[in-house]
Amino acid sequence: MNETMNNAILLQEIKDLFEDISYQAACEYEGCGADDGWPSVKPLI
Amino acid sequence: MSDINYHIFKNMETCILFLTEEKQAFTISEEEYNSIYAKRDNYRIVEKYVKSVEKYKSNKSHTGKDYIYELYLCVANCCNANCSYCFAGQGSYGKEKGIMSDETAYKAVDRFMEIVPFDCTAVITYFGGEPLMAYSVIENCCNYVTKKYNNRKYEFHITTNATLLNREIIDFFAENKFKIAVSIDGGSVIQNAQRPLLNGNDSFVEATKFLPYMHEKKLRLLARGTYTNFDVSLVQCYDELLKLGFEEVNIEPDILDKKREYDMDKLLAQLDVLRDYIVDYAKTRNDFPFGLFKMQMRRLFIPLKKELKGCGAGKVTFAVDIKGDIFPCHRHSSMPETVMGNVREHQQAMSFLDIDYQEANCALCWNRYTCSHGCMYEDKSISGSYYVKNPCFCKYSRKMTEIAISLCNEMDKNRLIKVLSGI
Repeated sequence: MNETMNNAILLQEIKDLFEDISYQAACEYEGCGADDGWPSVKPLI
Repeated sequence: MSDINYHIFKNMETCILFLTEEKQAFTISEEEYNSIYAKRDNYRIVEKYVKSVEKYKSNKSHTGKDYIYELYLCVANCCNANCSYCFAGQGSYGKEKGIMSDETAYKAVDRFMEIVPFDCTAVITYFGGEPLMAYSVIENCCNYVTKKYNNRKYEFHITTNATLLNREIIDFFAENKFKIAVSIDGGSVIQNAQRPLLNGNDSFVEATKFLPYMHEKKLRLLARGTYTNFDVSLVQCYDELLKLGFEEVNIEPDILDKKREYDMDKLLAQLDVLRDYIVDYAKTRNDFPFGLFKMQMRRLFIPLKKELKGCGAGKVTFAVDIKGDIFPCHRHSSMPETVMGNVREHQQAMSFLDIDYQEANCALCWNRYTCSHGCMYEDKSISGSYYVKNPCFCKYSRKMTEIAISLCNEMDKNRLIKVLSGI
């Protein structure tokens, strides 16, 4: 890992977890965050 | 390299650089921050960080597929409260007050289930006005769905002020695994000031009296608050609601008015204080009940998708009012020109604007891939166009992204995975 990447905040390992699961599982449906407020979020692990 | 592809900000003493196209953020030195800020050698510095993440660039194509659909069944076009900021015109959306018939509810569900692909989840959200004013419709409709669609994936949600609950209703919700969003703004003083009941009863007492029983029944409970007076401490609102034991607390700012631009600095300052409160909370507790921040953090990690789509109104979200008219969402039901049909008409496929915010100013914003793009109804009602964003929302969204990045910077890997997983 290069020196600059040591300062990365959004850990690549976690980004890879999101890449590995399907796009729709990663995004899920947020719904109307304003009024229902129950997004459907699948665990990454 | 262009200015729209990066953003720098400070959080306390930490200087942060965010790269838009790379969806990556870095802590940078004060010296680098000052150079970028003063536009001295800024492109060279930013390029250094861009190059460092080049090899991590994904080659996968992420187009996305909708697989959760939501129907807002507005069963009561009336309300027992009189909230000052209500977008629904005190529950009636500017239309005739009344209650939905069972037949309309069944037809709405049937029409909705025709739209939802078989392998997708259908969320039926009971909404109002105050939906518990039509409790028998809710009960009958749930029984109808359970019996007729037992081979489908579905969930029941309700957004309610909780003042009309009783044990029988709560038992029914528990049996049917409801997810409940309680409309409550804070402790007694705030709740009574902002959400007075028409009968003069104490709004806070009425909204919270059955919380212990709902906890006992292990119902999924979310507090959905509105933050309207930016002089009131936002931390206090969160703190008072968390003490009531809600699994999640989401407090949305009331920015449905362009004039609020003058108040935005106050709101942003309140969010900074809240950010510190969340950091302290996360250090001492295992849970992370800050749903809005959790979703914003997830947006940072979700693979980049170039399409800038809207909230899904009229595509995966629909609303049906008491007369059976179908709208892109519950909020749109006060806009008669957006009606998409009626549940009694067996018509061809319905269509609604397929918005892409590349056509709005979003294409020039550093936050374009990390923004939810907010509420289509809000934009239309404020500016008259879906493509002119509410400027207050843009400021709010950019602040939320900055806070989400700084929260990620405060957590170690294992904690972050748990938070992002909703554990």
